Amino acid sequence: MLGDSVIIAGALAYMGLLFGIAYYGDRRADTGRSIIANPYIYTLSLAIYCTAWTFYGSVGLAAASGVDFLPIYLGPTLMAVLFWFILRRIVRITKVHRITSIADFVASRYGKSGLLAGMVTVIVVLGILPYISIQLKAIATSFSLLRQYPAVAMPAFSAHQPFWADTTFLVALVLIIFAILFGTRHIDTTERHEGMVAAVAFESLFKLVAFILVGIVVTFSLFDGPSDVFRQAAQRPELAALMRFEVVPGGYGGWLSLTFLSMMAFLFLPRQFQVLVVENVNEAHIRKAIWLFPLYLFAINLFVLPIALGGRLIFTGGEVDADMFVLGLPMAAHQPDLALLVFLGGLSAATSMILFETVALSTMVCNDVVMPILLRVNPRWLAGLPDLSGLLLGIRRVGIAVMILLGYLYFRFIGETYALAASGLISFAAAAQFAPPILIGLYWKRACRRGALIGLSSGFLVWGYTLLLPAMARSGWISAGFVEQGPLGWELLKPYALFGLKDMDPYMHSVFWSMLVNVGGLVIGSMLSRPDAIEQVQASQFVNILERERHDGDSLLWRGMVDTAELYDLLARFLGPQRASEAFDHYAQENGDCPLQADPRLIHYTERLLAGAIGAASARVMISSIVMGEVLSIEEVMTILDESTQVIEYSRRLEQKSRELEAASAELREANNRLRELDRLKDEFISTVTHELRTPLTSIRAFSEILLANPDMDVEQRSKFLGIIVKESERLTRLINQVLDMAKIDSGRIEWCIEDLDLRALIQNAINSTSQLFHDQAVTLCEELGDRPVIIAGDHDRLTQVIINLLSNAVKFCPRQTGQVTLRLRALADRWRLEVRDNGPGIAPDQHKLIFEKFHQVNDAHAGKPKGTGLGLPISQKIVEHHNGRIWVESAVGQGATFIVELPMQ
Amino acid sequence: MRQQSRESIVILFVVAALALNYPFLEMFDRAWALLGVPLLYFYLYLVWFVVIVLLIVVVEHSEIHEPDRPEPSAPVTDPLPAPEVPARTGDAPPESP
Repeated sequence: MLGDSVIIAGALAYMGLLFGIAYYGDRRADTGRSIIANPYIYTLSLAIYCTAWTFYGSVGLAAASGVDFLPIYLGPTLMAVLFWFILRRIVRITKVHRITSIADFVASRYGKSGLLAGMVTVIVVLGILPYISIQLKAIATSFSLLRQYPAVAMPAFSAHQPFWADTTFLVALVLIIFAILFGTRHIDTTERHEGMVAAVAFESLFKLVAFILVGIVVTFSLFDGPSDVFRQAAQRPELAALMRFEVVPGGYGGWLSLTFLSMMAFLFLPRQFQVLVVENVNEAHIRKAIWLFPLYLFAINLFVLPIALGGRLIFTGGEVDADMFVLGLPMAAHQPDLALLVFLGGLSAATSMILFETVALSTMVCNDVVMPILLRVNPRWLAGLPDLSGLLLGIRRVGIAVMILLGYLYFRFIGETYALAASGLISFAAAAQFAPPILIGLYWKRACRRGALIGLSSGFLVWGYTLLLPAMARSGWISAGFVEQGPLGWELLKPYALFGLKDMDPYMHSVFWSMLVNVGGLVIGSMLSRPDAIEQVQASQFVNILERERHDGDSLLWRGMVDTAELYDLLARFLGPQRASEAFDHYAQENGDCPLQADPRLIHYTERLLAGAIGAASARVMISSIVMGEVLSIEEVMTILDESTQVIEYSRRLEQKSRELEAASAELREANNRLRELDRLKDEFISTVTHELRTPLTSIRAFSEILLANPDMDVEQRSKFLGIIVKESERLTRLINQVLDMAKIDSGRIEWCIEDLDLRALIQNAINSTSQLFHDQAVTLCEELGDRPVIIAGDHDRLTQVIINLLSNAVKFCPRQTGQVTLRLRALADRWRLEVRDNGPGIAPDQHKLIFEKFHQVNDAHAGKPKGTGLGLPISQKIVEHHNGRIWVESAVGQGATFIVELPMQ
Repeated sequence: MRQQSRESIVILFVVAALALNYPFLEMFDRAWALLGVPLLYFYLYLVWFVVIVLLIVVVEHSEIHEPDRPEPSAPVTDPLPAPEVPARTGDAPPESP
C-alpha cells in the first residue's frame, strides 16, 4: 500500500541520500581525492540533459506523434561525434581563462564585454525559467497520480491546495537548501561543485535504471515482448499511424530543425555548459564520453515506443495522461514498489536539472548582472566593504532561491497552459541563439563584439517574436488574433509565417529566421566594425587555443603601475584573505618573488583569479579601477604583438640558419678530410712514382757510366750492358706511359672511342700479341672462347690493353715449364664473363682488394723482386669500370689465381 | 587523435546526419515490420546503434595508438592551479650561434 506518508518518506529519504552523496563528494574533493575525476562519472553527469521532460515527456510525445521525440536525442548523439573538435576546444579555453559560465564565455571571447554577458544572462533567464517550472510540474503531477494508488486515474488538478501542504513546494524548499549548500559553498576561482556532480551522476544512473525497469515490466509482463506490443498496436488504425512518419508535426523539415536545436541546446543550455565544460576535470574524459554518452541516450530511449504504445493500448479511455504512462503503467500492473521507484526516477531527473540550472543561472545573474550594476551604480559603497565574498555568496544564494520559487509560482499560477508544455523546446531555441557567437567565434578571428551584439540581440528578438509571444497568445495571455492575423492585422508579420513563409513548422520557422539574423548580424557587424585591442587579443587567444603554448597575450594590455598590496587587497575582498594570500604565495613560488610594484604579469594573474570569482567583464572593471595608467591603444598592442611575433619569427629563422650552418660545416669538415686523404695519397703516389722511376734510371746511369769509363770493354760485355740499358729504358717508358694513362683516366681527359666490336676477336688478337711471352716463359695457354662472335660496345684499344695486362700478369706469376694459363669466355644471364686463370702461387685473401690499388704489388718471399709497375691492375679496373663492368680476383695461396672480368651485354 | 581518426569522425558525422534525415527516412517509412518491429522504428534505432558502435571503434582504436597525453587540466585539489609560466616571448633571444 502506498500512502502519502510512504511516498513523502521515500522522497525525503531519497533526497537525504543525495545530500549524503554530495557531502561525501565535497569532502573527498577537499581532501584531494576526487570521486568524480573519471570519464564514467563525467558521462553520467552529462545525462543531466535527460530531465523530467525526457523521463515522462518522451513517452507522452511518442504516444501522440510517434518518432517525433527522437531528434531530441539524435541531436546530442551527432554533437557527441563532434566532441573532439568543438567541446575540447571550449574546455581548453575555459580552463585557460577561468571561465565559469556561458555568459562569461561569450563575454570573454568578445573582448570581456559586460554588455554581452548581461544580454546572455537575460536571454538565459527568460528562456529557462519556464523550463524549471515544468520540472516542478512533473514532480507535482507524478505525486498526485501516485497517491491515488490503487486507483489509476489522473486527479483533477487543484490550485486551491494551500502551498504549505503542497508536496511540490516542500520539494522546492529542499532543492533550494540543497543548491545553496552544495552550489554556493564558497567563492571559488574555478566554480566547480564536485559534490553536486557526484549527486547528479547518481541521479542519472537512478533514472536510467528506473526507466529501463518500467520498460521491461511493460514490455514483458503486461505484454508478450516488444513485437506483441507492436502487433497489437498495428491492429488499431490510430496507433498504426504512429508507426509512420506522417504523424510527425512539421514533417522532415521539422525533424531536421529539431535535430539542430537539440544539438545546440545540448552544448549551450546553461546546465549543459556547466557540467560539460566548467565541471570537466580532465580533457581526456571527453574521449570516453564521445561514445558512452550516446550509449546512455540509446539505452534510456530503448523502451519509449513500447511504453507509449502499450499505454495507449491499456489506457484506452484516456484515464491517464500520456505524459504519465511511465508511472501509470506500473500502477496498472499492481506493482507499487516499481511505481515508487519510477516516481523517484522522475524526481531524480527533475531535481538534477533544477539544481544545476539554478546554480548556473545564479552565478550568471550575480557575476554578469548584479555585480556590474553595483559597480556602476554605487562603487563607493562597494569600495567601503572589506570583504565582498560574503556579498557575492549572498547574491547567489538569493538568486537560487528566487529562481526556484519563481519556477514554482509560474507552475502554480499559470499551470496547465500551452506555454508551459512547449517551454522545453522554446528554451532549446533560446539556447541555440548562443551557437553563432560561440561556434563562429571559436574559428573565425574576425568576429567581433559589435557583430556578436547585433547578431545575438536580433536573434533573441526574432526568437521571442516567433516562439515566445505566440506561445503566450496560445495560452490566452495576449490576443489570439496576434497569431491568426498578425499584429494589428498585418499579415506579413504573422509570427508563425513571417514574411509569408507559412509552410514551415513553427520551430523550423523560428530556427530559420533567428539563425538568419543571428549569423547575418554577426558576420556583417564584424565585417563593418573595427575591433579594439582587447577584442583582437581575446579573439586570437580563443581561435588559436589549441595551437598556442602560452596564453599571456592580454597581460600586454596592462601597462600601468600598481602596488602589489593594492592588488592583494582587491583579491582578498572578493576571495577572502586566506585564499588571496594562498594565491600570492603561489605566484611568488612560481616566479621566484613577488615584486612590490606589480608588473603586468602579476596584474594579469590577479585579473584571471578575479575572473573566476566574478566573471571576466567585472574583473576587468575592478582591475582597471585600481591600475593607474592608460590602457594601451590598439596600435600599441598590435605593435607589441607584431614585435614579438617578429622576434619569434626572427629567432625561428636564426635557428634555422644556424642549423643549416651546422649541416654545411659538417659537410665542409668531411670534404676537408677527404681532401687531406687525397693529398696524402697524392704525396704517396708521387714518392712511389719517383721511386719507381729512379730504379731503372739508376741502373741505366750505372751501366752507362761503366761503359763510358771503360771504352775498351769487350764486345760481349758491352752488348750485354747495352741490352740492360735498353730493357731498363723500355721499362721506364712503359712506366711513364702507364702513369700518363692513369692520370688521364683519373682526370677524365682520356678520349674513349666506343664502338661495336667482337670481344672474341679482340681476345684472339691479344693472345697473338702475347704469344711470344708465353713462348719465352714456356707457359701453355688454353683458350675456351666459344665459336661465335661476341659483340659488345667498347673501346678496342683499351680493352685490348686490359686483356694483355691480365695475360702478361698471368705469365709473370706462372712457374716456368709447368705454368698453365686458362682463358675462358662465357655468357651469363645479362653479361659476358672472362676468366684468366693461372697456376701460380696465388694471392692471399687480404690482398684481393689491395692489388687493385696503385703501385701495390704482392711482395713475398716466393715472388722475389716485383715484376710489374703496380699500375696495370688499377688501369684495367678503371677501364672495365668505364665499360660498366666489374673486375676482381678469386684466389687462395698455393691454388693459383683467377682474374674475372664481367662486361654487360648490349 | 590521429589524423585518420579525425577524418573518420568527420565522415561518420556526415553519414549519420544524412542517414537520419530526409530522404533516407522516407525510404524506410513503410507499413512493414521487421522482426515484429515497425520498419521506421527499426531503421532509426539501428542507425543510432551502428553510429555508436562505429564511434567506439574509432575512438578506442585511436586510443591504442596514441595514449592520452597529459593534457593541461585544472588540478582537482588545488584551488589555485598553477598558471602557465608567463614570459614575453621577445625577452629571451635564442642562444644558438
